[in-house]
Amino acid sequence: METEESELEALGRAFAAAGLDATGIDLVSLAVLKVDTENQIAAGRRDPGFATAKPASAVPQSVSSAKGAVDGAS
Amino acid sequence: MALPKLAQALAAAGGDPEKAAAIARSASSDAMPHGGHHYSFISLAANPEPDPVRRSDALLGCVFSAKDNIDAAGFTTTCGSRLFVDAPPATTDSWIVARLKQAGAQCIGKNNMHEFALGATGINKVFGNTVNPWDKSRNVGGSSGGSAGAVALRQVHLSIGTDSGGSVRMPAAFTGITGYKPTPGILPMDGVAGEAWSIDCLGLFTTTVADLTTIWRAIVPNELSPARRRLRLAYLNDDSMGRADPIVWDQYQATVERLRKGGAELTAISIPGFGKCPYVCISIVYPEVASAHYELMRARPHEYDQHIRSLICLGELWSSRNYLDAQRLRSVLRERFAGIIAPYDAVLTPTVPIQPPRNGEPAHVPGDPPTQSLYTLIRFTVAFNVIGYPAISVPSGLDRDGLPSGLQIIGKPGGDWALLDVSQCVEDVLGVMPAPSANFLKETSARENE
Repeated sequence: METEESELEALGRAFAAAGLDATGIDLVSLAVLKVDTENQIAAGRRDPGFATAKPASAVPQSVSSAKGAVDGAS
Repeated sequence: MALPKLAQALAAAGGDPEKAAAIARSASSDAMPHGGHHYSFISLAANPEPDPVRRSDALLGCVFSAKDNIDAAGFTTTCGSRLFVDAPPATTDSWIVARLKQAGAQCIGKNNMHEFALGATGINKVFGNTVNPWDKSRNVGGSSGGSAGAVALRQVHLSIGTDSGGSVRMPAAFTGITGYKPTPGILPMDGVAGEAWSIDCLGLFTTTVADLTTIWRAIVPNELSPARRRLRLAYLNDDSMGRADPIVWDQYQATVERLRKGGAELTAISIPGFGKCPYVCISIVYPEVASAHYELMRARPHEYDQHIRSLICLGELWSSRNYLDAQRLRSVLRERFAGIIAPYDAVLTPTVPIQPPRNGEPAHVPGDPPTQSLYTLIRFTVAFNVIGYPAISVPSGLDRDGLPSGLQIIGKPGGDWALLDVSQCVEDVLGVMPAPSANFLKETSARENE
């Protein structure tokens, strides 16, 4: 996968903004890993079961009548 | 000198603390600092004696070690990192270490590991790279590689590891031993430097399922083993979880055939959608680890291994939406797998899709795109961390190159005794793996003479 120059710059800026020292870090590899992973997770949102799924680590809660609404499930 | 088998050690101790101490001293005197040239250990007890907290003799004569992110009183917990080399020793035991000591087992040391468990190899620049006892030129796997090495070399009967993506099962497969990741929550994480809180899990290494069951009975009482009957097993029969090296796949198919001939009822299945599990896992692990390391990463960034530092930094940049989406995908996949496994006693897959990689070479299935190489080693294991199912790797013999292979058996949540029962049936059919020492010594000798 090609990594856009702008993605690398954005990653470098994000490190700096977070107060992290990026010296010696392979930003190209990290950018590829980040974008690739985000794309896979974004694709997962199209899974038929996703709209009504709650986070696995969520504490038990009552069922809401608005379930799924915020994810665009009408 | 290798330790006697667990059953023999328990019998030899015969409830006598002095005999048990002698067994432990023998083990620790054979294991050199850092495991000698094996690099299985980071630290060792100077003169192990039965612990005064002992309440029963169930495991008297059992010698164990713990991955160095698990507290054992008197030992520094380094997490395999330069950052904690000079930290004071732990003053109390983790839950699991205390439980084993209460049953009479003796802790003789702490095992080497991939720094902060953030990798799938036995590579550690501070404490040395753990050697694969079957072939010095190959990786032992990880992150609990030192634990696997110590058990494979019969330096201990049991080692405790942690498994957040396959870190117990994968090195177990690479070293020809048994590696078990139980249902999350059964073994409390108290006193474990876990960092991906919603996914971390303790795991156990032994040479056989029989030993594992003996130990499990001592630490998780009050559950009954189900009655034996003809096993109904499903086995992964396609590349829905990703591809495997042909050598590994052939060995796996031959193992399935041996189980069929051994009387099990086997059904070929697909596990669709689970190829995304590595991405789900890291979307959860990296941000959680970044949270745990926030202060340390700013105070002492250059004491981390550079690659580990980069992964933790990346976790700080993960969006909260991405993290929560991954947690929601866990729920989707967990529900889907419940439907897949429901008709069966267990599901089978290879443990790892490749042979142990040669030192310095990437873990890669020929023909895979480069972007997938990052997740090659955990391809078949990580899914069951993501969805919280118990899973075990049992040895399935030597492949055509003479390297150990592993069969992964997945059970149902909370059905740990049932999974151990299935695993014992599998071990009965496949047989027990021999120790690698003769092979290892031969390899060592051959290479030193080159």
